[in-house]
Amino acid sequence: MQRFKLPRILLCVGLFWLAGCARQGHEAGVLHVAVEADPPTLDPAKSYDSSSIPFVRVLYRGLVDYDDNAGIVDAVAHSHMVSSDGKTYWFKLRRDARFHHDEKTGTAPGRRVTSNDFRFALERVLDPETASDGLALPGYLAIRGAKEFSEACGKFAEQLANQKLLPAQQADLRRQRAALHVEGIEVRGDDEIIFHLEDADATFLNYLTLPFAYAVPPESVARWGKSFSEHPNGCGPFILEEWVHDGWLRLKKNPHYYDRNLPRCERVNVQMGNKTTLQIMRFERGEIDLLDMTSAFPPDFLRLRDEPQWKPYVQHGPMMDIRYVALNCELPPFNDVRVRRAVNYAVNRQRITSFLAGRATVARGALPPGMPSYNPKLFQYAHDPAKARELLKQAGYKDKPMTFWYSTREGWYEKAAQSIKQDLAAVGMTINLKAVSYGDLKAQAGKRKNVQLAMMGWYQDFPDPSNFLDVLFNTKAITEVASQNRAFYSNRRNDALLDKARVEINREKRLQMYRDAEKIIVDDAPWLFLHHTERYLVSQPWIKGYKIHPMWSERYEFVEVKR
Amino acid sequence: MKGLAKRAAWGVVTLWLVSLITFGLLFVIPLVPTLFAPTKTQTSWPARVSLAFQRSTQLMWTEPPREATDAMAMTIAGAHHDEKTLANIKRDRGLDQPLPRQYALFVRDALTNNLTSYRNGDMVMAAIWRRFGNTFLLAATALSLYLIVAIPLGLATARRAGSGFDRSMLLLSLIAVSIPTFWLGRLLQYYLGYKMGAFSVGGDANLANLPLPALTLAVGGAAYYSRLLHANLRGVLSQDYIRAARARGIGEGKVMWRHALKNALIPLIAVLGMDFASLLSGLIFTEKIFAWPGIGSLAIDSVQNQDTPMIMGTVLFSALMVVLANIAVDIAYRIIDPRVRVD
Repeated sequence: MQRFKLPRILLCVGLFWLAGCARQGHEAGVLHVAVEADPPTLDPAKSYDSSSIPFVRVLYRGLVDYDDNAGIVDAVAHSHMVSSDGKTYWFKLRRDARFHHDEKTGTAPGRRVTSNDFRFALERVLDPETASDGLALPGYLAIRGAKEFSEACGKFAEQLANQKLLPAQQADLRRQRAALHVEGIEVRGDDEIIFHLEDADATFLNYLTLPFAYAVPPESVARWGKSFSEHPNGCGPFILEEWVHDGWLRLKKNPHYYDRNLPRCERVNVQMGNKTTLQIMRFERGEIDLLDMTSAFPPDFLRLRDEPQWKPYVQHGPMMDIRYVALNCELPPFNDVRVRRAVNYAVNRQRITSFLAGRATVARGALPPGMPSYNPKLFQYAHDPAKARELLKQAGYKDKPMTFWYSTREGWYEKAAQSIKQDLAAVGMTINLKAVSYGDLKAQAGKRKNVQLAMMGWYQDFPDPSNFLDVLFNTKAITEVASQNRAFYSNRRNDALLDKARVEINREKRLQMYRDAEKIIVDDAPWLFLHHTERYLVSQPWIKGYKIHPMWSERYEFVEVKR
Repeated sequence: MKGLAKRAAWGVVTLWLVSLITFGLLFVIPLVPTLFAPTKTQTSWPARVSLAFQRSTQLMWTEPPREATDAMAMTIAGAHHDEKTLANIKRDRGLDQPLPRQYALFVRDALTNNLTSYRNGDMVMAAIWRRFGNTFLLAATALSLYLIVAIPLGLATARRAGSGFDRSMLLLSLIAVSIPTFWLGRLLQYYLGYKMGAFSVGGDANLANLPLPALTLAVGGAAYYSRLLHANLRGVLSQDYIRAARARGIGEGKVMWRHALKNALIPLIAVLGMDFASLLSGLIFTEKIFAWPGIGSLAIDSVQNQDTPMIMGTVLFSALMVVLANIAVDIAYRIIDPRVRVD
């Protein structure tokens, strides 16, 4: 080296800088999205969480889906009918729905979607070996013979796990297992499927809109086994191009999708591992097209919401959830309704929503606004410490420190817990805070006679009041170890109403019953009713068709990316 | 060659020890609190310790380590975990076996490339390999930046050793080395990327996103290497052959670049090799801040998700990188400097 080669080095540095200047994003027809969490699965039988469902529902499709206003419409079904007793559901399939590719040859498009694929999907959910969350939901077990089928599958699995079996015996067991079907799912030819329910269930169609009930080709599951999640093959509007865990996920348009108008963009590029702060920076630089501000740091959220540049593109709507503190009705002091009411009067819930910078509405009861049978005139506990003190006095309450369980998953939980502690101390109740992981909290609060106070949340499975009231307040929802009814609340009048509503076919009557039930529940105060989250989204000016939906958090197939 | 074989053999032993330690941390440590938990009859510490020893032999050799494997089965099960599902998972994954058998299963899976993530069906080695390119790109860029900055700086300060310039550079280097990357990364991202718009703020692994994470790493690294080089150069510059070169009338620039630098760089190779290994085994903070999908972010994600096979995989991979770097450094020395003998 004769001389110091400054020009060359400067050139390198310059190129390096230029590379960094290059901006990605905004391509017509390509939707750029950044999220934090990698979807745990793309297997419809397993997807029951907010990061998997948005992708599973565009890769796969079910018999029915929701329209813009959460009314149920046909999807892969061409038409459907419900018998007058509400026990039989008949579906005729459309003939132009095809799977993404042929599993054997790999060529696109694959074979036609048949009624057998729907039966297979549901039977897979019911098989305990699949370990699907759908098995814990009441909807699929309501099909006649579903419970028996599930138990029989479990027995087969146990027998097959026996290592002393000869190969011939194993093959024999497998053959028997393959011949096993749910009695109440009737398949007539390739185009007809009929569900016979044990009892009438007005929510059955809702269960068919969930990923658990989406068409799954048996040959793909047979080929990939446990790694089926990595090799999805559905009939949805998008095809999976590439998925690198915690890295990126790329979807491309399915040109053979039965609805020729969908999807409205050519591809969706999702980048994982982007924390909200990074997402905001990238959104403002135009690199990503959509931004969910619901859990953004409050100053960032307020700035984006009020900035004139973004204001026209901000939208909000209810998250369809409820945040609450379960007051264990089986343990003192909360076995006394006056103490439970006192807690509701003592806590300043307005202060808690202020931690969220306005992205919440104070709850009246359990049902969120936007839910059918939501009652805007329902009695609401006011912040009234004097009344709380009086109720505690009437109940003869003697202060004994209690443990308040909450999870550390979201930033505001800690503040809310502190705020509640302070409010309760003001009326003479002492609580000690205990922060645990979310999984731990669920496990502990689900155990009977274990936890006195637990701060929890519930997000809808589908927009029907039964999914809140029946699941969270029915005596039937109490179990010994994994109770969904975390207040262990039991009221016979309420149970009777809920049980009647579940099988009632008349929608108006049904909704009225839920309104009545919620009144009883609010009066009994098994929870400290906190608030409902409000979702806030913002999109780039070139994005069209991105709307908050009452059921799905994202509907990528309707989003259009303009030039 | 004999020396290299010996090195390689030691490398295998190192990897085995690392696997034992990682396995111990993940499977055995969760048992400790229960081992020492007070029972109804024995509450005093000496009694609890002796009881713990009794229980530990039983736990080690005959019983499955429930405390650890319960949590692992729950990770695999995800949201849906009833007793039945957990039992099925443990049966399928061999998590209901006693510890030595579990370790044997782990070694078998690791050697046959069958380690599978608990969270999804991902193969551990494939996942690491897929991200290796990203980490390699970042590590190689960072290392080049170290040298591009450190060599001229080292030369300049060595020539004017003890001057005001040298001292101020020393101070600056000290500051640069002490800046933590997690702070510097965010600062650069916010000001250079977001506020000024001069660089991309990150979000994926590609050339456009490379500058800021590389710069974040380079600040400390370049400062460190410039000081290292400075010290080496000063040693070299006082050698006789430098004086001889000057006496022969060779220009100062040529003396520095040709004669002094070459020799001063030799001791750096060992450090560079090890640094490259540690860069390749993942840059946790930098990769996380810029959402650069490399091995470091894989490691931290797997810890957060309690994804045991992935944790063990990334730890073993890091160990492998260090072992390989050691061997590579040895080979490099043999080629560059014949004076060096491995044994």
